[in-house]
Amino acid sequence: MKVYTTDRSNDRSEPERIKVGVADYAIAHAGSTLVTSGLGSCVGIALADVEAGVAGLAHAMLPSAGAETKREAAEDDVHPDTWKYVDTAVPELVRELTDDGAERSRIEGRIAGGSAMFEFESSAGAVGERNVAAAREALGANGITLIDSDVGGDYGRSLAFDAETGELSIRRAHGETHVI
Amino acid sequence: MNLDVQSLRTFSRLAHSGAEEAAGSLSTLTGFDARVAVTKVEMATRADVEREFRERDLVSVHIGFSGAIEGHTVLAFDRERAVSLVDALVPGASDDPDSDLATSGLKELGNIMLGGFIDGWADFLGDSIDITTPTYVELDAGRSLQDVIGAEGVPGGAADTDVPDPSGTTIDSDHVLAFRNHLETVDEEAGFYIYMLPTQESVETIVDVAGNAEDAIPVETFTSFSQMISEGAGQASEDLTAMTGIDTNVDVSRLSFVPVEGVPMELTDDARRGVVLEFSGTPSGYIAILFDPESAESVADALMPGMESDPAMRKSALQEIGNIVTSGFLDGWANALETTIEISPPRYVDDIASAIVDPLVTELARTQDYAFLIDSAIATPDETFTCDIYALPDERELRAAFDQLAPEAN
Repeated sequence: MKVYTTDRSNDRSEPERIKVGVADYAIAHAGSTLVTSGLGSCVGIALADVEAGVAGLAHAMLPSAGAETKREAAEDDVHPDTWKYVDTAVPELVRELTDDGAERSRIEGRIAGGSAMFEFESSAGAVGERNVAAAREALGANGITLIDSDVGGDYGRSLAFDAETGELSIRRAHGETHVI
Repeated sequence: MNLDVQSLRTFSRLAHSGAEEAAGSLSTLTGFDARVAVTKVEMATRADVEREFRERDLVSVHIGFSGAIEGHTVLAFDRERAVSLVDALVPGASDDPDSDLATSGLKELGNIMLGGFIDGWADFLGDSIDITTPTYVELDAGRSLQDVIGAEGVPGGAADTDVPDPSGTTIDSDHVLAFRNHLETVDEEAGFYIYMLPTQESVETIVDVAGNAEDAIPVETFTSFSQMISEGAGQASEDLTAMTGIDTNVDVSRLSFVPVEGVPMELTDDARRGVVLEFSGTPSGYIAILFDPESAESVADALMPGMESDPAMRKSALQEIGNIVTSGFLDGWANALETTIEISPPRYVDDIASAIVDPLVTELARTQDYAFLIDSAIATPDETFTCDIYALPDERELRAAFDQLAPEAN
């Protein structure tokens, strides 16, 4: 994971488009767009402090980490699986943003994804739904206002998050895009 | 040579952090911010690796390594990417991309990136690994990996005398463990690849340090399984030809070991149509049969020649194709593993490719951090259509299935 915020010692500017992988995150500043693709049951958590001009996007797979991941995530070193789970990704993303000048009270949250594309016989069911519930809960627990969401359904989504405006564009397979 | 899942995890982690080191060097040297997209451990045969090298228009830098472990690393990039890199390293040199100035820039880049890649392995093994001087190689269709590495992989460097002829070990072997790291720049899809091909002896060295011998599976088992996958793909291809009346071939058939989150990143965010099925037995898992939109139309047309078909009919035609391909693909497994594999009804899907695979991977991610990914492609020689098959068996159940393939291992 490359974070573009901490190293200002060189003149290289932040790229305009920053990709976020699965179980991954990135931080960006006004002028850049964070993108992630292929959210099925996964959930995208987009947080921005527009006034400070800083935003972060996480792409989490599962609602909750085991106790071990949580314990390690609480220490200084970020556990490599932190970004896989909603309940560890949200506090870490908030910490990254506040470290970079964001005010917790100004951070606006948006979430997208968590669909139920298939019903598997073997599944304990509705991972997407549980991801969304975990995201709402984690945002609340971290004092972040949830502005809007585009969740559920039975289709995939790709996201583009404008760090300047805090607008989250959600694209579906055949080009339909809407903004929250 | 035996392998176990714990060793595979260690391999994957070492390769990933090595690739991150290399990406860091790339950024420092060229200003291209790169990141590691996917790290795969491929259980391949020599032919598989050669095909992968030949299919791309790649230029590459090769470096041999010896000491604690031995083998070869290759840094490969798309030709266009190589030109832009040369420009960043040696301004103006890209005017003549074949010049010594241009290739020496790439060799130096390879030296630093691959050196960084190897360092982590030396640290892990607590022993030193020497690297040879880099060789610049254009991998065009006329040259096999054997030519490249056998002839030039160990150039006259200081370590020359220490390195045995690798053609007698790694590359001549039917069983190759290839570490394939895909690096991408943050704002572009264009790829860099770092391949590492250790000798069998070196794989054993690492397994001894990292592995769990009780769990180990002879590497031949992986090869038998790869063989089974190829045969399954071959059967699926025959069945597809029988149904559509169009000749098809198996283009790709691969078994790899990847972190679960790496699986969706193997696919793009373009639209795909097809079916998703669940299979249960030993092993159980998920399978996705996907077509790009044009291929989906071609297949539906082939199935209903001359018919006026509505979208519902085309959808059910694709479902039927999905059923046939899945049966062809999995029936051989059931026979070889002496088990029954039940297949669920196909669920039709028309969505973003990576989003289709995401829920399948998420199901597996609840119980496993790494996945065995089976990917195959069946294509028509005249490019009428391509059919991509992704199968994701449950890791533990697959290990049980491996025991069936190699009962002498127990």
